[in-house]
Amino acid sequence: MTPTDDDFAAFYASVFARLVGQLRVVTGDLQEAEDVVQEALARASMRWSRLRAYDVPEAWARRVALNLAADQARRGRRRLAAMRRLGPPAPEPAVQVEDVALLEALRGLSVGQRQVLVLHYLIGMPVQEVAKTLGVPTGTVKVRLLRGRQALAARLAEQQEEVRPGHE
Amino acid sequence: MSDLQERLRQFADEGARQARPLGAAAALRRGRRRQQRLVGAVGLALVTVLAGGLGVGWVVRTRATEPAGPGPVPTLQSTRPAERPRLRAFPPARGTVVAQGTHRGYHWRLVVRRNKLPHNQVEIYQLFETDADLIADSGSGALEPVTLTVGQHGPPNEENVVSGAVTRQAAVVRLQLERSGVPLAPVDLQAIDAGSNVPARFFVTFVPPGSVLREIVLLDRLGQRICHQRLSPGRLMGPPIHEPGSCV
Repeated sequence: MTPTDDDFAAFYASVFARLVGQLRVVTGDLQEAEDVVQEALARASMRWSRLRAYDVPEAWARRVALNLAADQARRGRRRLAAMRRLGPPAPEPAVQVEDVALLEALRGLSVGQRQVLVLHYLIGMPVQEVAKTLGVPTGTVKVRLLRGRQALAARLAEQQEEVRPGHE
Repeated sequence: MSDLQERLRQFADEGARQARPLGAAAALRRGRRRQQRLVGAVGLALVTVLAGGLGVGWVVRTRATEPAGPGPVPTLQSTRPAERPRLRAFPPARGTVVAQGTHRGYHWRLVVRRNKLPHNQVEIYQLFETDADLIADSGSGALEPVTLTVGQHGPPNEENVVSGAVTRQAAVVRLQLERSGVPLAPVDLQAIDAGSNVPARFFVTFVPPGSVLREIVLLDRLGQRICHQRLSPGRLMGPPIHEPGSCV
């Protein structure tokens, strides 16, 4: 590895897990999140000499990963692409009951809604910055946030009702 | 909302803990493979354009050679107008776009039209246009019936554009260039048809710096010579001065 490669390797090690966690909210699938993050970081490696000068190169990689996740969702080839790249699926780690409920609720949202939830609530970006990152108007971001939040709250409430059938 | 926010955060943190890095080395390898594919694709596209896919001949630098013998000379193919990509930078053309493309970062197109003149005369006008600020458009006209008219433009010692109209009997326009007085291998361009309502065919090409167009020979579809025309080497702007020949 060259010194530049070492520099990139340090960047990779510091951001990979965090980005996967964030992208998991968008993709709803750990393997798929790993795949889009790996692809985004591969693209980052191609232009690392320029990206390393950025204040937050992680933001560039996140944006690419979010776009890739949206592309894959649109193409409907998420599972196929992940399996092609990663081979047979590795055993999934145990998932907590609360996570399953949230995962089910997230799957009911559009990719666009999940993207704004991640950027606004997880990363803490203001609405204007979310709009700039995703390349959409601020009004669109506000609508997606509102509808995503409402849909998520409604679905989680429904699930709570389902797990407490005798509670009326 | 803080509850939902907290749950999202916990969900993401759990994902981050479970993430299995594929390794920076794997990302670097994937990035390099991707870069190689991109470079290959760009190179292929460039070769396709230079090979005449847009109806233009690119006169490459060649070693001085004897004038062509009886062997075959490569013919650059033109494309039908409907197959050409649309340009974005130009306003609607006043006439028919018979050839267009991209060259050294700018768009160009060859537009032809028929202008009605007094006394029932009709002029065939061909205009080479670009969207580059520093390159002027160049046009030339000739009264029907046209056998050969040539427009040539470009600053001295730089790349020149040569375009023209020829009789519809011409299938191939053979260009004879010289460098420092030594003839180069001839270049054949396929004459471009502009449709049934335009009684002429057209050609356009880029001549590299240091080379001079000295003679044009028109050939019919059987390869028989229709006419030839020597051109004066001393003039670079506007129509070349014609020397004795059988076309004009």
